[in-house]
Amino acid sequence: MRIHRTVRLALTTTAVAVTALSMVAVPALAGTRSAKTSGDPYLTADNRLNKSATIGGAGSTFAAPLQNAAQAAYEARTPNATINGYQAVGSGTGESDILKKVVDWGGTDVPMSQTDIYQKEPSGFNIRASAFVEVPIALGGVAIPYNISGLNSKTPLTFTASVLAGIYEGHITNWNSSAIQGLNPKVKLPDSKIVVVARADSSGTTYIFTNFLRSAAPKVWTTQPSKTPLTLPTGGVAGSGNAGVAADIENTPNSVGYVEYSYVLLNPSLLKGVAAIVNKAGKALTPSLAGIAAAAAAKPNITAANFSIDWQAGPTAYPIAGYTWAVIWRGNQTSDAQGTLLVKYLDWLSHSGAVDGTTAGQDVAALQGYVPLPANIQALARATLLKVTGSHGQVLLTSNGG
Amino acid sequence: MTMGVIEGIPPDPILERREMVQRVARKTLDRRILISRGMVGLCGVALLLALVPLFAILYSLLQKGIRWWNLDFFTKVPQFPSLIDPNAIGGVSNAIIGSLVIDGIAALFAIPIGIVAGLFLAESSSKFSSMLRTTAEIMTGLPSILLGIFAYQMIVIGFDEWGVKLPGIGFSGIAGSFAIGVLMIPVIMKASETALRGVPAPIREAGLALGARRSVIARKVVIPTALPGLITAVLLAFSRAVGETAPILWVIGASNIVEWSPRKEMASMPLQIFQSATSPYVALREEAWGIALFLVFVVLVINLGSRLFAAWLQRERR
Amino acid sequence: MSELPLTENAKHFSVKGDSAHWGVLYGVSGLFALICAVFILSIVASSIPAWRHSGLSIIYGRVWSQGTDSFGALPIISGTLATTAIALFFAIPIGVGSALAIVHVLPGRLRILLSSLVELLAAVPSVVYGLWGLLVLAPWFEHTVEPGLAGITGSRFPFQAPPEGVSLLLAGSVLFVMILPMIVALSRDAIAIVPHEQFEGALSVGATKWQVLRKVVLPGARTGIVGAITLATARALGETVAVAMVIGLNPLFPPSLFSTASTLASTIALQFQDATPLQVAALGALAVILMTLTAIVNWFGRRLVRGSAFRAGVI
Repeated sequence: MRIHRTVRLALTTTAVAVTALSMVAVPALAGTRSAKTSGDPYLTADNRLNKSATIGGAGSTFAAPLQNAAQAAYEARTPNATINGYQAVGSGTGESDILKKVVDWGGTDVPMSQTDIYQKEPSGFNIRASAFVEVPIALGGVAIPYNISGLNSKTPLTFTASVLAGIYEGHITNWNSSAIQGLNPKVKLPDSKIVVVARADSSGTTYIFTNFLRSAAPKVWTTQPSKTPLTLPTGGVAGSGNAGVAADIENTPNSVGYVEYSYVLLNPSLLKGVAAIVNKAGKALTPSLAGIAAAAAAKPNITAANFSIDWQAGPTAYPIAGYTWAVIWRGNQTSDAQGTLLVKYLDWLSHSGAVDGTTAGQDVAALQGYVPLPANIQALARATLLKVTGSHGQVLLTSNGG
Repeated sequence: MTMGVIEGIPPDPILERREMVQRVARKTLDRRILISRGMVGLCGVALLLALVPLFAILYSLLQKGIRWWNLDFFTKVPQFPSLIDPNAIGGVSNAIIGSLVIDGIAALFAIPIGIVAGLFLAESSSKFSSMLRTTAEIMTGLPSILLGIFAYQMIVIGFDEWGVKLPGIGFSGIAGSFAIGVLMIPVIMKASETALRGVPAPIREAGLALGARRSVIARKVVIPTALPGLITAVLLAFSRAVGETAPILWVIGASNIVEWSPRKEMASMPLQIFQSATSPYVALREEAWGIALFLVFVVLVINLGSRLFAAWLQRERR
Repeated sequence: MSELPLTENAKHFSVKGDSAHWGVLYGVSGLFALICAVFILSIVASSIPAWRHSGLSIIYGRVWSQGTDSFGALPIISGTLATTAIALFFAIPIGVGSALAIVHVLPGRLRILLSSLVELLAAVPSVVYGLWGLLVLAPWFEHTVEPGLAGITGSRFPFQAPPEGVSLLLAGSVLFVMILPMIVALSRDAIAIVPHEQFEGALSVGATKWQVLRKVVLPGARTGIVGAITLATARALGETVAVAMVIGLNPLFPPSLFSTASTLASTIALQFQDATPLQVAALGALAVILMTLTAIVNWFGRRLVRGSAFRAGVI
């Protein structure tokens, strides 16, 4: 039928306008598929891989809940990428594995130092610490859960560093000893022997915990903080990995131990008894995401050499917290394709997608009980990853699929 | 029967002794019967005691494991809990496929080597063969964790000593297959030797009399005759290998997706049971029963199947 | 022979092929022997730095600590021996008694059924025993058995520590359940082949059943039974996974049966991956000790068992 010319013009204009708008608006609303005009080009490119590759990591159990969840999320978004299951074998083993190059990254809560390298390699082996870079990938805390049979109390027990040190050294042996009872006057503690739970393997979580004890109670805890397994007092139980310690506390009556916060948060039976620890400002705080964030905020400028955020000042700062790191070779990747996947994965892992509306690693971390890395630490991660080079000396972290 | 003194005949020491023994026996009979009933009863009690834990395990396995057996369990990969979905669990398809690949490849090289070496033991009586036999006996008794060390140092890390250099492959299914294969070989070797020796000599000799050379006799006569025993041996060794955890503890890495390539890291059922059972998450611990039930099911099916098959073959041969 | 032209069929019958046959046989056997040699040598070689560093103190030293580079494994060795001893203490009487009952007390149908059942149970993987031990037995021990034992003995040695769940006693008990089917199955074989005529002959001179069992059957089956026990001992000494799940992994001397402890195999398993080079050597030394122990026990056992009905699959 005949349409009036004006109407036709109007219709055409509308059609063009709608098409133009939809070409811009729909992808922007969908989020994941747009050719980015704003936002972080590196982050977008993290999900684009030209060549297929497989990488795998091992190490810190502190980071294990994040790695397990994040890997699945990353693989779902990134064609061509395969990531082997993260082997939660402890920070010490993670460092050994990356030195031997049987994994692509080593997870550790304590950045690897030259001393660590000398300890793990027979003397004469020339690996310098400068051959590695350390990428911060998560921020978490260490909770002190306990399992005291016969304790009917809704309020968490309070401990100080010196009391915990005394327990772990075997000086304080019973739950109702005056030191503990004094901190918890309103609770009737049973007269039973304390079962101390610690790590059987070389652990970064042990480092964070002993560093706290050493910083806060140096007169009681006289040894330097380290990853090596603690000597347990009689009757102590050693667990393998954070998971092992958490399981041991659940299964052993009258026990107490130190566990990364995610394990407690995701486990209702452990959540029932988590201690409040007295911080530097004198406040007793149970672990919380806000408390961990406050500890991180109190010491914003960390580096791989100065990384500890235990025992920070501030009334809301939870006193036992720390970052966890991925140690990777600066050059000498197994192949360029693997190296590219590695840096892109770690970049994705250490960033939040909030800018783009996409999901990135730190968003997954938030759902696992970690505090998303502060913006300056995310920037530190990116800057560190940009130092990683491939077979021709080229920077592997690209803002395209390369 | 009392033998009194009969006039004229001197007392016979043997008969006197017999009379004394019978006297004692009659006196103690009641007590002996009582003791016998008691001790035999104790043996019966021992049997009941022995059955209690064993039935308890089977009962726990069935009761706690069967509820996990659904389609998702066998076809999905594991999922992890998060704050928005604390009960996420997924399935164990990665472990099932991983076990299949690792044990399958192990069997692929262990079976031929084991049977051929068994044939060697059956046919040769040199010093070398008796030394080999002793070696096989020692190897079957060694803790399997030592084979895990071996596989880790040979395959995962690589070998660089005594002038020989082997590049390491890293964590992989192949490393696990190597460990499990080396575990299986001596077991198959010794059982094959027994089966092959069981082939009656006249059958071998008939082959020789016809002028056939030994390899032909072996291939066409000895092995087919010993086949029931060989198959039983192989299946039993395989069922043991399927359940082994220690040799693959640190050599296969980990995988949360289904992985078919042995060059890559994989999961495995016994390892998954170990990790889930020691996990702090209740759901994972409960899931371990489901995997354990399936593993026991597979092992029992192979065991039963091998016995039934061997019995069937025997009957067929008659 | 080689001058005659060979027909197709005759090729099967040529003597020349024999060398190929022996070649393959020797080759494959040699390959296996080579693998075994490399295996044993590599473990011994890897342990040398530890022997050089600590000498024999590895065997009698009491402190195992990665941090101070001191590697005394006496508590660990005694943990191994203690768990095995606990397992054998219960498994020998119950196992041999059950075997006697199966052969001489049960009627025919039940005998076959139970024999098969026990053999099938011997095939259950050890990780399943560990699972059951950790999730079912440990809570029961912690809430019922250990307090009960402490109550009865007044908490005196060796029952004095507070019940914890994972403990030396629990590990020994799990090992007991694991080696029991093995002992029953092998003893059953040994007892069953004692000639029935001997049994009946003894009965006919007026002995009671128990007297026959004790004086005829058991001595007759003694070789096989002792062999079964030594094989089960070797298995218990080397058991890794099930023990690691239930023992608590504490390399100190357990002061009581209720305490945590550690064994050679479980220590190796759990510490191997993150060991410093010296510690790897020390763990290799543990492996050498373990290897020696099990090899001796096994060799002894097989010498006694060889000849009696010996089932490949059960071992």
